[in-house]
Amino acid sequence: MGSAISIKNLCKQFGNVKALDSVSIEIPRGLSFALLGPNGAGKTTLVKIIATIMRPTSGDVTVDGHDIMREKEKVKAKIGLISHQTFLYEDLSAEENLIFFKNLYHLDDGEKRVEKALKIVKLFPRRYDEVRTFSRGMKQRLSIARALLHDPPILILDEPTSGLDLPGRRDFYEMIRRFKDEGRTVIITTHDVNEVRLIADAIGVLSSGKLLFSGRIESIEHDLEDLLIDLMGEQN
Amino acid sequence: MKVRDILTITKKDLLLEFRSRETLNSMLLFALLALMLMSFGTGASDAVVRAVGATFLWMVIIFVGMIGVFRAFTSEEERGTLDGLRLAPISAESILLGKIVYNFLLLFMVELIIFPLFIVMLDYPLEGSFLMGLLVLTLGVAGFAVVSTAISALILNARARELLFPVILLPIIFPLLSSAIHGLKTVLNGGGLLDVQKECVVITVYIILFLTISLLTFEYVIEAS
Repeated sequence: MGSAISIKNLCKQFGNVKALDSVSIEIPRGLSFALLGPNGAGKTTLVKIIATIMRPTSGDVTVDGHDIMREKEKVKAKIGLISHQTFLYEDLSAEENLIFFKNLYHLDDGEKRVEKALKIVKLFPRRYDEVRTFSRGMKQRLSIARALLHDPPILILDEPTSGLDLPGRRDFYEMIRRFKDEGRTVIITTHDVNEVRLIADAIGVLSSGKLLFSGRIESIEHDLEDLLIDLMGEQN
Repeated sequence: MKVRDILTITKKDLLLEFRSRETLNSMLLFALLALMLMSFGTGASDAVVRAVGATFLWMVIIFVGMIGVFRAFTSEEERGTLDGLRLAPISAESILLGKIVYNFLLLFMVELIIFPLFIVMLDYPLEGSFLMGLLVLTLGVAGFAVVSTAISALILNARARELLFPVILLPIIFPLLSSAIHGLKTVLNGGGLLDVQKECVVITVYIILFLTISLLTFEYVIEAS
């Protein structure tokens, strides 16, 4: 099983602040990898760099074998990003939003994909309604449809459940399990340990831009929460 | 950079604007109010109207334009949709050109409404061709759309960008503006296209220069903050 994402000595600096400090991670294909860390740990910065929307200061990142700096468009085609921001246009209908993204991804059989994606996220009956009329959970489901439109092998979820109610979260976890079953690599950033227990095969712990731990869940001998407290304590 | 990508972005922006009409309505309202204020001075002699009319029309276009053009990128950022565009497998240049075309069309629509109103409300003693005036005005508007869109993108991540925008734009656009005003004035007062050749060349060079600079730098400008 090759690497879906390979990160070597990645650094990102904003002025004097090191947002990422020599981070190296290998994420195998088909794995569900949770990136844990407190607010400001550098999780979103790492995700933005992997998704090619932010330049690293130094280091190498490859996505499915493609370099994020030299092969940006190939990397973008391999990734679907779901964030707490939905990237959707509120004044457009659900269908118009997906058609817009279908056109940006140059999908020839786009109409069928749009219809299929709307059915997967159970929004087909509301396809003509403007997104502004949707609940937070429905918007997030449409955001998933947007991210799945080009059938990416790698899904990155940046704190996707923030702002979702309990049923919304439950539906979301169900979808992540389905993505795993379909063989997709799933990377999720969170600071919720319970979320990690439910969906992750492996974790990486980031704090103040440094990777404190990376490994499979089953390799952690003690409780996940204790490990996190120990790691943060050691760093402080 | 693909024409299809550019048009996809332009089409989406036009659809959003026609649905909400937020920007277009504000632009038209401002333009109409400015023209109405100016029409109070229609008692001025033909010579005065001829001397300052073109300058006034361009003043209106600039202020109206600043309202509209500035929104093209900031609205994406405020809505949180800019990252969605950055994520798509399209070149950064396509995003910029899509926005330039949209801004040009928006300004062109305003121009089509306010130019005839300007002639009527000011009782402009037109000696040249109305269509030629529209043509010269459109060239200037195209230049304004290119330069102002590029600058609005450049200051996207800046603090107090609303204040910064006119402060940076107006001095930079001065040579273009001077040519656009002079060209329009000449044509409205009976001059032909040959008489405004120099002005048209200056505006075209400005468009090419700013397009080149902004296309070369936009990928760095649009990087997520």
